[in-house]
Formats: sequence, C-alpha cells, structure tokens
Amino acid sequence: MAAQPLFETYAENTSGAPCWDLCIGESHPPYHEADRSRKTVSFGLLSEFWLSQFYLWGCLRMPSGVTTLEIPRAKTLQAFRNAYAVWVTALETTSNECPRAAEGPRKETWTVSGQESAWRKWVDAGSLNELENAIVKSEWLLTLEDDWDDEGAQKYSRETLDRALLFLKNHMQWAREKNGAALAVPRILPGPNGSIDLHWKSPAYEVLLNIPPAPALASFYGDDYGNIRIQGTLDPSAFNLGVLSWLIRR
Amino acid sequence: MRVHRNNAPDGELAPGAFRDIGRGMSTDWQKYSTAEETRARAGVPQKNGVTCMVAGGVRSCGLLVEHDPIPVNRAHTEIVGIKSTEVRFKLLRLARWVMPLELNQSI
Repeated sequence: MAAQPLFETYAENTSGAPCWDLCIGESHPPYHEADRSRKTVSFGLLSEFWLSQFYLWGCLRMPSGVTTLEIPRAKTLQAFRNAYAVWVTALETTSNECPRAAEGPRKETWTVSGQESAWRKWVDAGSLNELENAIVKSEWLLTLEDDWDDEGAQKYSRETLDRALLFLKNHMQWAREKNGAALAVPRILPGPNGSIDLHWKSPAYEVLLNIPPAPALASFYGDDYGNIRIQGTLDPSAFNLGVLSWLIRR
Repeated sequence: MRVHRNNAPDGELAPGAFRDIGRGMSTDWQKYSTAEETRARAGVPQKNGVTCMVAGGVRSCGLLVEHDPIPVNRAHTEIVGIKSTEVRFKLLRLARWVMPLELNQSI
C-alpha cells in the first residue's frame, strides 16, 4: 500500500500521555463500518514526550478484526514520520494480535483491554513541533568549546542545557494541562559563565530567563514594553505560575 | 562593542553578548574609533559584528561608563557593574548593529 498520511492531530488519553494521531490510508476518523473493508490504519502515538522519546501503537482495522502492534521507539517525531512507511509494510505482512487492541469507532472513547479511555481536548500540534525543533537546534550550544568567542567564554555542559530544556518542557506541559494553552517557544541561547538564556519576545511582552549550572537558581526579567514588569529568581525544576502566565502564547 | 557571531545566532543579537571580560565589558568610544577599526581589533575580525549603545542609556541601567584608554586603543572604554539578567535585558534593548555580522562567512 502506497501510504500517505492524511492528517495529523494531537490529543491526550486519560493517562495523561500526549498522543499524536497519524492517519494513513483511504479514510480518516471518525471511522465508519465501510472502513472495515479498507486497509485503514490509525496510529496512536503514545509519547513519552517529556523524555524526548516516542513509541507508537497502531490500530489496524481489517475485515478480520482489530490488531495493534508496538513499534520500537523513535527519538523524535520526525524519525517516527520517517519510520511509519516501514511500519505499514510490516503490518501488511503481520497478523499479530496483542492485548492492547482498540475497538469501536474512535470518536469520544476507545477501549483497550477493557479499559475505557477518552480523548481530551485537541491542542495545536504546531506548538509541540516548534518546541521540538528548538530543542534539537539548541544542541549546537554543546559544540561550543572553551573560548568560543575568542574572549575566554566558557563552554556549556549537557547538564545545564538539560536543566533549561526540562524547564521548558515542564512549563509547556503545565500550560497545556492547566490552561489549555500553548507556551511560546523561546530562543535558546548561550549565556554568561556556562549558563543558558531563554529569551521570549513577542508584540505583547519580552522575557529573559537565565538558567545557570545547578544548583544555582534561575533569574528572570521581563516587561510588556510598558509599565508592567516581572523579575525574580526561581528553581527551574519547579512549577512557577507567575512566569508561566507571561509565557503563554499571546 | 564587538559581538562574536556565536553571540548572535542567525544574525540576531543575543543577551549573552553583554558580559564582563576582566573588570568590565570592553567597548570602544565612538569618538575615537570607527566600527571598522573596532572590528579589526578582534582576533578574527570576520567572526565579529559591531553594535553601539548610547552611553546615557547604559548609565540608566545602573552601570558606569569609564573611558579607559590603553596603549593600543585610545577608544577603549569599560562598562562597569553587575551584568545581571535585568541589565542584560535592558542592554539588549539599547544595542543597535552598526556593522552587522557577515553571516555567509566560512572561517
């Protein structure tokens, strides 16, 4: 089957795991009885996104029933996209059944192994792509060696970069769960003395947040180009509602 | 002030460019140095651009602007004071490119 994804959306199941839906084939959700006669494949990508790893399961609706398979993890969403074609080929030649089978039309609920799950609200998939891209791009900071500015600047550690990225990922998740909102993705930049700068700039506000090597606290400053300012220090591993309220995309 | 290209990814100035080297942040007084001359004093000039800031704006950030001529550079000026996150945020707002980075340079 020459498979092409028809559409891609993002949702969650009740376990709280972010899911990508990649629908391939000749029809798309919501499914109808007619779909059973077609090789329609729906992938639910249960993402351990916050660990930057993905794995996926698939729901294959064939005339003979419903089958799911687990596929080895892909490190990035792009790798998953690259791998799906191979997976579809494998599905066509495999007729495994496993306990994690989804049944029924995938509108409001789906049932896996007798456990009912419900889709949550849809979230703009684009914001997660943007964050993923920024995280991948930030790896260049680790290629900077000591004296990377020809003036004695200090290089960056994986631990400090991960500290900054974890702050971003956590607050993106919290923004989504508590506010149903997308977090604006900042520039991830080289800071002084081995620290990482996160810089947000929008027509509504600008914020600079500096994350030094552990265990020092992060510091931040921002304003709305007018009289409203925000500044202080925070523990980057902890949730900060004050900062979060500024960083929600607007 | 010279800005190394690693402090301006994609040509956009980053707040990390504002840091102390020694006693303060080294700059050149525009009265005694052109942008070209400032850039030429870099170890690898092609890796650098040049920005400018109004001294009064710098002082409004709580910093001292001290003309500190040295034998090889009459224009040398130190910007002295803690370069906190707040200060770097404000300096980023003040700074303007007068000699942008040459982004297509292979060095």
